[in-house]
Amino acid sequence: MNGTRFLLLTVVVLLIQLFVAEFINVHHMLYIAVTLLPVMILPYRYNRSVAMLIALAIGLLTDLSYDGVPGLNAAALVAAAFFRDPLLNVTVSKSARETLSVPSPHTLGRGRFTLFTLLLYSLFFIFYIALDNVLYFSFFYTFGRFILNVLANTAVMMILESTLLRGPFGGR
Amino acid sequence: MRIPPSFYNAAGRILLFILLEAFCLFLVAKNGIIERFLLNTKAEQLRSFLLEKSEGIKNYFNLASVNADMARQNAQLLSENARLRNTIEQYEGDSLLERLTCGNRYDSTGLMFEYDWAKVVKNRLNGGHNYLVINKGTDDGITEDMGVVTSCGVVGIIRSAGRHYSVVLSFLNPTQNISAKLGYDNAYGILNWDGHSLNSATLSDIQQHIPVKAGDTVYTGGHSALFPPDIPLGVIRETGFSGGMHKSAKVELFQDYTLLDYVYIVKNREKAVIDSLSLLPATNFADYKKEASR
Repeated sequence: MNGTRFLLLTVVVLLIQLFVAEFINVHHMLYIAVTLLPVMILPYRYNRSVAMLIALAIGLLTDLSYDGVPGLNAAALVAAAFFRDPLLNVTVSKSARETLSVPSPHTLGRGRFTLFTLLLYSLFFIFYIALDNVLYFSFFYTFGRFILNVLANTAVMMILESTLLRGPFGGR
Repeated sequence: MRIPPSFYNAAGRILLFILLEAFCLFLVAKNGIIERFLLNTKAEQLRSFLLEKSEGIKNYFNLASVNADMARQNAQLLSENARLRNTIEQYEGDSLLERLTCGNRYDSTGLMFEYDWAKVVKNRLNGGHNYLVINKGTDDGITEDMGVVTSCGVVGIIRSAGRHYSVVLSFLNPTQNISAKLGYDNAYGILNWDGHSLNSATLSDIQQHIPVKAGDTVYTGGHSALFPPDIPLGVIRETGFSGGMHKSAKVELFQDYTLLDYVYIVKNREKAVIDSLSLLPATNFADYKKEASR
């Protein structure tokens, strides 16, 4: 995916995020975060410092455009960008990593891509919930919120990936 | 020993990660600064435009629930009216005025609090840091640190005010504590959100000798310049002890925070005086009182 397509995809994902946040409110414990997609699909072994800065920019744009707590999405996305490559190393075999370009179901296989998404969302929500919930810590509530968000977001991301990345932004 | 360049790269990345996370943490902790900046710059125009558009779409779909909520509020106001009428009948006109005005402390209208209404154009209910945006700002006389209420309870406090819009820090936040009392018995405690359910809160710091039972109503205590006393907040569902020294209670809130549509902004005419008193050093307080009584 070239730079222009990546930028377009980021704008589309931000608009989807705004729409979801404004109009789809299933439960106050559930937060759908689709802005992880641009960070996920950066090329494997992409410069991590640049990836973190891109994640910070996307996170701050998300926070300032709708969320109201500047820094919350940004902190979680920066963490996702920092730990993305180590998580890919855990998910993908060494031989497959040598030829890996962009993480997707096409390059990783459906199962491994789902696992990668699940792990990345787990990390995202560890940071997100820790910052959001720090003064209300209750194990069962926090754990429940974490599981609900990781599973729901992984499912949403699978749908988004199959519609966006195989559709208008599908070129590899 | 020669240190490989990859070590510096890794150390640099970790340092950058720590710096970026620290920056984000700073933003989370100081989010009022960002809100104030946004509300007072050109960004507000874009924000207002987007909020008004989304408000229009939401209103179309929410008309039924808004009507139901207004009907419910009307019913509550009627009950409140009846209660006040009964109270009035119990007192002579002069002594009632004396009660309402606390002697000659207040002006001819006899009211310490004024109210202004506003429409909620955004109500963020997602996680632990919740807030609202209302369609009134400094042009309407709104300033920071004003209370926001409805007939069913406390909504929050104005955190930052722009010209046409203001951001309200919702009661559903970790930093919000409200002075509350049980019934009309002058048994005071502190009410704060429990962080989990949108309709429950915890009343804590109640003295041990005070009888607390399920079904008791909790009202605003009035020990604050932000909220008037006697606004019904909720009803006690469970009681317990906190720290072994005080009683605590789980309160089911009357206010449904998902249905907020119109709210009332509380303007305290004497807030400036109260604030200036609280800033005085204890040693100067006697002099100030002497000066004020002249």
